[in-house]
Amino acid sequence: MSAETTPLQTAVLPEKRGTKHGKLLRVIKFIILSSIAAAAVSMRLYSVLRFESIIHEYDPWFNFRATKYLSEHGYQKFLNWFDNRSWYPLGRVTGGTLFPGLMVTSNIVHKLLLFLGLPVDIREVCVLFAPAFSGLTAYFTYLLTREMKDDVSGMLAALFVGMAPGYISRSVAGSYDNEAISITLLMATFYFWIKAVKIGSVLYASICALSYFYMVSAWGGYVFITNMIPLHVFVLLLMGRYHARLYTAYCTWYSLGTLASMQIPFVGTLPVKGSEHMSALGVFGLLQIVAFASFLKSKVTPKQFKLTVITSTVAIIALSAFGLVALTYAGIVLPWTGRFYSLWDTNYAKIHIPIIASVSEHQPTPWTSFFMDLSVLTWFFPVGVYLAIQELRDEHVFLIVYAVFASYFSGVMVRLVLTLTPIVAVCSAIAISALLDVYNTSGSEKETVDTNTPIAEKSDKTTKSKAKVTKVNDDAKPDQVSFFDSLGRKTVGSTLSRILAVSSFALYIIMFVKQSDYVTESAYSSPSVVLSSSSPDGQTFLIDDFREAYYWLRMNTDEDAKILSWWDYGYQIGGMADRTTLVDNNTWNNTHIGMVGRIMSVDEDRAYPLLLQHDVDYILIIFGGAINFNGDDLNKFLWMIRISGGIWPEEVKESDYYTNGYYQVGSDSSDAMRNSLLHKMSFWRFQGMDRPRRVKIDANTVPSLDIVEEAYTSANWMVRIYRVKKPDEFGRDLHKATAFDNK
Amino acid sequence: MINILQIVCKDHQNAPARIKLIDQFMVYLLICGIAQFAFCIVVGNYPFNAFLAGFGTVVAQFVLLANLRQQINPANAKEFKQISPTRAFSDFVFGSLVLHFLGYHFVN
Amino acid sequence: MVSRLLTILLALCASVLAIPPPESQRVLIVHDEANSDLDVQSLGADLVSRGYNVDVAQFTQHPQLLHFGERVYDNVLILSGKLKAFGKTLRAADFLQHMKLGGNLLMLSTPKHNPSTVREVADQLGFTVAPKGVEYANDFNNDLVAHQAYIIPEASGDLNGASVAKLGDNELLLPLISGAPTSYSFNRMKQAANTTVSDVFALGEDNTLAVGLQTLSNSRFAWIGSPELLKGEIGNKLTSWVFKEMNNLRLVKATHVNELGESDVFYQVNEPVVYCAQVEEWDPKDGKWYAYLYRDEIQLELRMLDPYYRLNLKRTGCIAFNMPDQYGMFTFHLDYKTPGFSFLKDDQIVTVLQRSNDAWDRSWTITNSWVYLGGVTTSVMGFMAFVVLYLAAPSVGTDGTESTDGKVEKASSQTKKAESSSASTGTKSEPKKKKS
Repeated sequence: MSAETTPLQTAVLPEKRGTKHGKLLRVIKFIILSSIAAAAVSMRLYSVLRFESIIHEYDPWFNFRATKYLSEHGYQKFLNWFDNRSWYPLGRVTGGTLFPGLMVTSNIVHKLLLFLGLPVDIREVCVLFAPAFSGLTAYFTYLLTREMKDDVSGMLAALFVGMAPGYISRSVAGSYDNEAISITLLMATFYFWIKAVKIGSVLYASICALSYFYMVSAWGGYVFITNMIPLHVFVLLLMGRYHARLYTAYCTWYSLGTLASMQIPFVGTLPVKGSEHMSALGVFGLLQIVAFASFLKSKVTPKQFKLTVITSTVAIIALSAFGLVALTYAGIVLPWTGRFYSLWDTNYAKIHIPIIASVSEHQPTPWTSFFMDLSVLTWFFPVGVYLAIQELRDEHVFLIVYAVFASYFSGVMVRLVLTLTPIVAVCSAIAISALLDVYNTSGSEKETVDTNTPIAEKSDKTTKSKAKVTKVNDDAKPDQVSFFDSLGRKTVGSTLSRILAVSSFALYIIMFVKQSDYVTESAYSSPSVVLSSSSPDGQTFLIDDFREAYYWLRMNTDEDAKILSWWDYGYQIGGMADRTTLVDNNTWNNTHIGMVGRIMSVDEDRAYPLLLQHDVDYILIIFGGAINFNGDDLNKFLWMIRISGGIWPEEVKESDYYTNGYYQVGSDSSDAMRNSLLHKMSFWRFQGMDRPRRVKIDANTVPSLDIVEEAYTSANWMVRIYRVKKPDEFGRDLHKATAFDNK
Repeated sequence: MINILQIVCKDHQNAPARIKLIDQFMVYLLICGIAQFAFCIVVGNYPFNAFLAGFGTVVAQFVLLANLRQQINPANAKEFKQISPTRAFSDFVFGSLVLHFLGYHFVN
Repeated sequence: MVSRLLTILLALCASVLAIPPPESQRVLIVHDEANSDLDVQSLGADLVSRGYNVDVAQFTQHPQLLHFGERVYDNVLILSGKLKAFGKTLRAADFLQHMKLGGNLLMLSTPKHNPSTVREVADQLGFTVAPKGVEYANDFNNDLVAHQAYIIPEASGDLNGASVAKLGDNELLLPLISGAPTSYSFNRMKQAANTTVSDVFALGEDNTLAVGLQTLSNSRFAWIGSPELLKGEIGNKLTSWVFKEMNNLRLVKATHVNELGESDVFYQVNEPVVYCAQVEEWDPKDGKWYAYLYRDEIQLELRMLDPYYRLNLKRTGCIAFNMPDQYGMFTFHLDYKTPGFSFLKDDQIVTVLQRSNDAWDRSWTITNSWVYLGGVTTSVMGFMAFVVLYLAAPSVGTDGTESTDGKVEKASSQTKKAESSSASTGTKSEPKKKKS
């Protein structure tokens, strides 16, 4: 090490000491990190304990099905997989329209386990996939934060990210989704990126590009990285912080990463065509110019240089901006996609693309959910950002840019809270460790010994990290001059005040762990395939209507039967009932989804030819009227009407379905509502109180239902399946035929 | 403009053998890249993936060379403290191998 | 008890005119003694002579059409009598069920014998039988109009006094025989003097005297308004149509194969395919199924939501074509509906795959891409040459001159000290970029 130690080396200082002390430290660190990882994993197993080992929700069912396909048919077939059991009759070129990273990874894991002689089912791998990766996430977050500050903050960050409900919500056992793996990759990519910028190493930049490639293969959210890194570079350029390391890191990452990302069939040539990727390309070009300029700068007089730079910069920027606009208009560069627009204007989706707005996770985030998902971290986060601004090395600029952007986007869409969580964990960890530094600098060895006594599993860890704080700062060298270290020097004298402060922080952390634990258990561990409910006397019972109905479909219908349902249930029907569906959660075809909405919205006579045209055998609807389940089809009905109304405005008019401007069901509703197929199917044979909508339903609400016949209704009436009647043998219309048959 | 060219040439002539070698390779790649781009514009971008692969490989190779050139240049040693010329070279080889694999895979 | 005319009679009939298909041999005739103008016995004997097993029953015997949900007879002939309703074994629903299960039905009612069950069945099938007493009348000639060339090509005769029906809008209905343009129908029982136009049930060709219908599953039905229509040539044609002796087609199988002759596979876009339908017609003379002669009239539709192709089969019953350039689940849709003939319907759903990722031209087969392939190769070659030359060349020393590898570390650390203050000067990068 040279005499002039830069802050980046302080982080590695304690490790580099080959003394016995250092070895002990490393062991303790390893124990702490692995227990954090273990806690993170075990926290995510509530759903398995409380329910069973089952794939959750909607999208995971597809991922699971795809994984099974992959493990049965091999990669080459998987790549060319044409799914003829979904999107009937269009089918889905599944191999070319999915991100294969998740499936490939879990298959490799599965193969590996089998190779090791552990005969596990692929389903178990899938169910436990997300928790396992959350452990890795904790590790990469540790590495990333360590680059920002030091070991202590790294470990705190690992703890936070492992336990923040915002991340847990997407990674509980059974939540087998792309996000499960991609948050890990996000952290890894950012870590390698920071490393590459710091050292200027082609090696790290290449690894960063590879990890970016992995990310691209796993999640559509890779665009976040595609824009974050250029933005970081761009901000650094604006701050006049160009240096050769930046050039090395960015150009290597971009040129390799872009080439690599285009290998994924679903992404294709998007990285050179899509608007979302243009910023990366622009920054790449800009860096070339800047690099060349700085090369020139060293060779010519300042005055000459200034002139050349200013004229050429203006010319180039004007030219490239014009070029981009021209190319976009010429159709070579694709304009921004709708989902992307909706990030900027929250009302955009509602007006132009109801299908996107209809997804609950695309709604703007309510404030309460920030507190629920991040708990105490919400307050530490700004502190961390502030400290980062104070320090403001290159990597802290990255931190700030990330924080600002993730905060904005998470406010727009609920699901993006997920990308915010890691940065919140990192910033909070920095904040807390920095504050602890103030109070803890000259803590004694004795304290460390005391805290080694295990109290409870989780609080044990927090105290351990606290112990860590002590040690690291013990080792802090006096000649370090960075802001973080200067904090450490302003020690507070009194032992009492120190103990108070430290224990209050310990309390915060314990609170955080308790809160996360509670939220995870109560809110995020439900598989949504099985619901739990409590009766008035407080007993909990499980509502298993979904699986009951899917099982009925599997056992009682023809193998090639086509099931029509709203798209939410498409993946589940495909996965659990193994039947062909018309639409599913992969919402790529608005018209086809609109068609399903139209069938549900129009009256029987208009729906019937459409049902025949699409060869529909059964209709599956969700009805929550009997057990007060709010997420049923009638409550999603407005979206069906809006989506289909956008495509067939003459046939489906939203206003027709309102009664005096209100959404109303039952006997008093408008004609269009009362005669709509969904309304009829929902309330057919139902009498009593429709609890989610608080309407009394009697026998006259639905006097007749002729084009379909009830085939199955689950125990709590939640899932109702109707068989579509064949055209009448004798050429009668179905009203007449049904009336005769019922006589 | 001529001024700039002169500077560049002068710099090149003064450079040590390895940097000269890098410069020569970079010029070679530049010509390759321009040729491919021109070909694409004139003939049309039909096998677009092949064009991207060909062009991308050349550009990336160029960038990697530029990195190497900076890293082994003693004038930049301050920037790359942890990177010795030997390490720079091995990094370069690693990056290039990754690149070649990607290039061949993508060109199909 | 049901009187059984023994099938021995069959053997007696040496000269068999026609042979019914094996699945259409059990006949039940239901009548009552009021049917004086029809000789039920001779009708039965005639049917037996044509190869049927005939049971004759009276309404009062309550013959059963269905036994534990199974159809008992293939063909049922109802000759209405004085009963207003046929009793609990012969309700309208039973008749419809009989037909749903593939049975055929021929019903006769007259102005005098006009039971509600027949009217009810008629109502379900989309036509209206005139009320009791309404009679067909044509005061000028005995002309009749025959509508279905494939069933009853021509008809004439004095049918005054027959019952008539008016057809509704059921598309499956086939008017077989209707009255001449000068005919009318009204209730003769009412006083003639008071008759006004509004008392007329139907005029001209609206007076349908024989109504046919074939259900979607090829059960055949006919209603006639006079026993006369069961006699002679017309009666013969009528029963042989209803009992499926004539115009009886069947689709033995429909197959589709790809170029290699494999069936039951996933097709690729644009892949050649051969579709064949084996269609046969019952020949009552030989009592055998023969290949249908007019297979080139049969149309095949390849559809996915909308038709992509509509192609007539060749005389061989096959058609060769290429799959469209569109992936998805396509249906080979065969729907042959010639009035008077059995309907042929067959849907086979096949999957047409997108072009698989290894089915595209490899880049070395596309001349254009040789340039780019060359680009990659030359840069790899260049890289290799570069590596060799680089290692051969002396390494870069402190002051820009050349030195040996060993000195590098030390040298660069010295430089560090020397240039520690200046910002980012001396950065060299890609000096050739601007040349272009």
